[in-house]
Amino acid sequence: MPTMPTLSDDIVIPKPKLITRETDPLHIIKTRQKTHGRPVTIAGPMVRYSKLPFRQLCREYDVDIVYSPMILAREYVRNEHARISDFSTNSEDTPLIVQVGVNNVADLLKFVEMVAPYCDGVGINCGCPIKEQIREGIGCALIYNPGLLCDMVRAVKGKYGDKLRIETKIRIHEELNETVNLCRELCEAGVDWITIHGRTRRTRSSQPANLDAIKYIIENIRDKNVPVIANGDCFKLSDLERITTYTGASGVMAVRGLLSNPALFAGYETCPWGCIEKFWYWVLEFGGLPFQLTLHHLYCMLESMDLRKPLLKEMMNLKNYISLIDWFDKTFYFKRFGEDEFGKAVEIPYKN
Amino acid sequence: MVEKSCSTGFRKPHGEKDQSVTKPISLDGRTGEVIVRKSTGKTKIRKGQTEEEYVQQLRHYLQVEKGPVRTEVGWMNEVDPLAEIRDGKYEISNKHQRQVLSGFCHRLFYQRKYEECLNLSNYLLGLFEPFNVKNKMKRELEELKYMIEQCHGQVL
Repeated sequence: MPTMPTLSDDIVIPKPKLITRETDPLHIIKTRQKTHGRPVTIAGPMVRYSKLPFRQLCREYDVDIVYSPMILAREYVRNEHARISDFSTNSEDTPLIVQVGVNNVADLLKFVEMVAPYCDGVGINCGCPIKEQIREGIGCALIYNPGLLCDMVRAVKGKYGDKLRIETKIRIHEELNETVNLCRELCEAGVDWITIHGRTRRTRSSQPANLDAIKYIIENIRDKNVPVIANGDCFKLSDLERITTYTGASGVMAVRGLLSNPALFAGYETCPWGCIEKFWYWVLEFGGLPFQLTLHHLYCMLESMDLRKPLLKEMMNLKNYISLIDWFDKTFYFKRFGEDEFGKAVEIPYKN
Repeated sequence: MVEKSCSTGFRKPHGEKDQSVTKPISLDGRTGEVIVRKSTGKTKIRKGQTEEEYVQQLRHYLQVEKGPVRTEVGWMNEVDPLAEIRDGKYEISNKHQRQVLSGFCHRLFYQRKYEECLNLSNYLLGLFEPFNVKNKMKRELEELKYMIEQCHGQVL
């Protein structure tokens, strides 16, 4: 791996991962329409859930770019245990954007130095509405602090230039021209692309995303030539075309939609059974995913498939991996990796 | 007073205090020391990290941890968990490391390699039990016992 100049005598800091056409997220965003006849598809960051097995699963179903969960820079650069539990990867985990929660330039630069050799870009979380994060000046607090946000983008681009991609995922303001101004400032600071979630920090997810707002912002920053990704309410493949055509965005980021149906961009209206089998394989192949996270993933997917309610309830009462595997074997024709027809079924293969 | 046309995020509609947004105040740009606001409205200082402290973390990250955890497809085929335990690679008091070890068993069970799973889970049960202070590892131990029982049923 190529190296940067040494920081102290015995530490050699690896350079950021080499950008190639196949893995450069910006190149993919700009060329997907031409190469694949469709806009770019992105799996957004989900607290706890965008771990390696789920990222690999999404990639099997036409997701072009995948995000890690938000990682707190402050913890990552200070604590070995946080690093081990927050981020694992492998050679297939690409294109990958590592999303960071951060409230100052110093922590961001250190964080980027540590993760840049292992990912294809860094995204600054400016959309998380959780009050505990907002109080720390993290997440969507940053859209109300444009000076700091742009300083952070500028600092990363100043240090790495085109050797590292940096993105910001923002929510909209109550007053849309503020979002336009923020986006224009971000473009001037050097951001590579912007993801816009069409909700304010107070909009509930049960309310529809404001696509008109995204459209308005895109129209008003078009001269900056920085791609915009639309986020919010993408639940099926047709939403990809609908949202991008309406807003003028370069692509769509799905989050909740993919949690229920990781195969949505491959054209499945609900999660196919094969997706469940593949998820099991990735979870156990990589190891280390806490049981409750696996259970929640399976719940979301099986609920979207209209699994019989009593079975869903039965599953949620299980306490560990072994009883869950047993339950799958007892309830379904549950194929393992390597067996005929593994990962191919669409309907739920009930035994009874 | 905030102008009506400008959403600064600092407004407190309905007087709810958690509606306000924190702008951290930087105390030291080099270390990242900032003041943030607590839920009570009081401020607290988030300590910075000196260059020396960071270099120490970086050294550990690059030289000991070897970067982030990497789990390639088939990585469990390449290692012998029993040999690694004997070599002291795992700290059994660490929950994450115990989860990694249990992960070997889960995979064997999934692959229907019940005899191997039985051997390893028996070994792990003996290894983990002494660390069960105040019954905090109850679930982990119950899982190992359940796994042993299920494997026995499959092997016999």
